Amino acid sequence: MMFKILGALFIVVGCGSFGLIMAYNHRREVFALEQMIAALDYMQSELRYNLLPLPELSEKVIGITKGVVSKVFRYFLEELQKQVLPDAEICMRSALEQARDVPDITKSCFEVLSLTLGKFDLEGQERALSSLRQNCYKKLEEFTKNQDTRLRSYQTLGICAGAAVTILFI
Amino acid sequence: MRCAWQAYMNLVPIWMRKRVDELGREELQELRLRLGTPPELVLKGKRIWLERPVCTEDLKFCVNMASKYSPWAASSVEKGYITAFGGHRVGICGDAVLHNGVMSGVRTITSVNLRVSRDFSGIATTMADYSGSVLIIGQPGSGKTTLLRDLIRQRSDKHGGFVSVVDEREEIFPRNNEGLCFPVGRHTDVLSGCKKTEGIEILLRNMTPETIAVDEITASEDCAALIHAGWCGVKILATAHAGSRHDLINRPVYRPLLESRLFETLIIMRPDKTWYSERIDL
Repeated sequence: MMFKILGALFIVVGCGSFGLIMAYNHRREVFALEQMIAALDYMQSELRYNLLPLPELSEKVIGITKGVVSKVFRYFLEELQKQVLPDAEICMRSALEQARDVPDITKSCFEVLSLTLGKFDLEGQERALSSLRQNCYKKLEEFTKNQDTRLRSYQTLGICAGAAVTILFI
Repeated sequence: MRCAWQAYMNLVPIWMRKRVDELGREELQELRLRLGTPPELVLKGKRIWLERPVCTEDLKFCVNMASKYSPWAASSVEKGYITAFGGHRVGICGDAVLHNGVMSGVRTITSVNLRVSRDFSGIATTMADYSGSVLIIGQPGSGKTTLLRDLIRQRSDKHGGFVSVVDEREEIFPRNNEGLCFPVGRHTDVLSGCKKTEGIEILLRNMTPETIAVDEITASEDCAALIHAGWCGVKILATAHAGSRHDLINRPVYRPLLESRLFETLIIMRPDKTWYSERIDL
């Protein structure tokens, strides 16, 4: 009986944690997307008024962003400063590889960003950043629609699934 | 002699860095990279070719390094060059992109010329006593900018008057991470990256210069701005592309400058980087 109770407890905790992790990942993605939008916004303004080159631009973005976005830009800056890789796209890809824990949607945004960085004149670069920012907004909107309900559902679903499995086993 | 050699090496594709460093540290003037042909090192008095041919990636690498991966930050791309850290000039050739008939960039790069910037202190010592306006002429690569740089320093330190410099191409006093690469003189103010016509106006209004220095007068607007400054009582130090006095007189763009009798001394650079001076009396 003791084993049964312990096993049931593990299942409930395990499923509950799964739900919580889902909710945590969701929040992480939202936070990263918000940071990404802030970074793109800032980059566009700095480019328009100060024509900053990428290393200086990245340094400033690191200062105004937090979490994983800031981390990716830090690795990106390191790659730019090494002056070994041939272009900005490869530098960004290397930074993404080093950062590892970038949420999926934010990662895809970074990949699109890497395709545009350092490839156009000022006007083209600004347009590319602006279009990417709009894209990020859309993704964020889709993601945050009914966010609270969805997060609660993840958590309760996890716990309920655990309870259901336990009842079945007992 | 001063040279930001490491900054230059950062521009060179990695596979040829070691060879270029060995062969050119002291004497390299230019490294010419042309698509599909071996890199050409132009040294003092001789040329050397490396073995492997240059590929598109090598050319892109040079341009990305010179512009810090940011072509928009180097507005001079539309003029076919980028001034990199340390004052090294990267000349670019290829398929020009035109907007309304004006070149706005280079689409496919086929040649890159990496020119080494070196600074020699004291080469203009004997010139420091010329008190009036000085025009330095010579062929491309004859050392006009190097001489102008030292002349600015000499005039600033010896005469003690305020010298203001419009460094449009950022080649007279280039930058590095710590600030300016070469000493500028105790009384020198440098306005970098600004067009000569606008820069001269700004300096006249704000910096009370006794002397204004500019590099490479190429347009009639530059000449007009210099004449205007000259009439404001400012001495001018400038350089121009002309192989000889005869070339200078025959280039219509310089005619107003000569007719205004703005310059008192003409310095003529020889291809071997030596020079001689003449009074301008046209």
